[in-house]
Amino acid sequence: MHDRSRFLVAIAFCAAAMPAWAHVDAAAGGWLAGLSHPWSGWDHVIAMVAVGLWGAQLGRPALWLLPVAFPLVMSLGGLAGLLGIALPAVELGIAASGIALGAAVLAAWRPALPVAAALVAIFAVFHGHAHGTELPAGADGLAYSAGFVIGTGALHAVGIALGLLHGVPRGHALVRTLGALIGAGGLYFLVAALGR
Amino acid sequence: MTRRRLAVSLFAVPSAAQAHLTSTGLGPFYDGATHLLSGADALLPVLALLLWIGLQGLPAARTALVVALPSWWLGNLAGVIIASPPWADWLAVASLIFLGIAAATDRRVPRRLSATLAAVIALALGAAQGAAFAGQSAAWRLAVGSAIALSVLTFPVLALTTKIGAATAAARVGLRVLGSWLAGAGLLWAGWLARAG
Repeated sequence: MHDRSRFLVAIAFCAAAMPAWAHVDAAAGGWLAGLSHPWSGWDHVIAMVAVGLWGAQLGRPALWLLPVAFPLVMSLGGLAGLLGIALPAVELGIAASGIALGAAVLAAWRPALPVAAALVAIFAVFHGHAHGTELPAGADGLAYSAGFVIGTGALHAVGIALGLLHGVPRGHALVRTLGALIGAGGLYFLVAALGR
Repeated sequence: MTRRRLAVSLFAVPSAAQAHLTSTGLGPFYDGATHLLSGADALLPVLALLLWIGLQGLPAARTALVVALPSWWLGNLAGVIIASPPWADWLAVASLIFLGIAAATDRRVPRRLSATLAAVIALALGAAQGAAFAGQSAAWRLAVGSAIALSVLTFPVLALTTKIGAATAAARVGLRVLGSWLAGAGLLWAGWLARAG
């Protein structure tokens, strides 16, 4: 019953996941544009889903602490990007986040909570900085920012929903497979970034 | 005389991002009433304040409400008279970040401190709101509409945050996550304002 409940909760979260909006006017600067921005690149998407996956694997309090740490530190990185503060090797950092977080999920690595939070936070800086430098000028900065943070949280929620499957039969293997796919995705982006 | 001129000049410079007035077509009272909902910069800091107060628990929330609401009205009034200080947006940013982090960390503070903080922040946010109406032909009616709308909004939102915060541990965590998102939005907003100059 417990496994079935987890499965149903996971399905509910997945069903509630918002579709990615394409071709949003970059100069609009509104709430919807902000909401869709985190979904704008697969390199970002896989890492943010991985944070939710890993948090679900680790259980409470990592389940909610990691998806809190990531958006908050990401916003700091975004602030730096908006202010024009340079951060080297951003694309490499983003690619590395996919590899590292995917590997953590694949290995079902269970470090101490501060270590997990620190790792997530370090990668969040790179993601935030990348987003910050590409945020469009627009009329409503706060609405865009609020939508952006919520969009990020939604991706974490998708990861958490999928991660909750680790409690059902064969769900553990499925989650670790997702981790492997995320890691592979990160590797692809790393090669792409090195090739530029 | 020089000090007075200096003080006036500090308040006379309009801030970079002035709150935008929405015309409902129903008159200035209703324009003022909907103003709070017309922009995230007006609404989100207020929601963050109510979220934090709610997380402080029922007795503290009651006390904070008693001082915060009149403080907001007073600030609203002051803002109409004094017009737009150049730091109005930054005050809202700082409030949003501080309150969001305070809600996320979920630290209960002594009741007097929570009431004092609530009053000071409400005063500042009210002033920023009132400043948006300064110079308008129906400024006082706009301000009254805004004050009544805030009062109407405050009670159900505060009741909700207090109730949810006391319900279950998971519900409380949900509010804390919301607080962290508000703080994150505030940080990005800070960068936005800085970039806009």
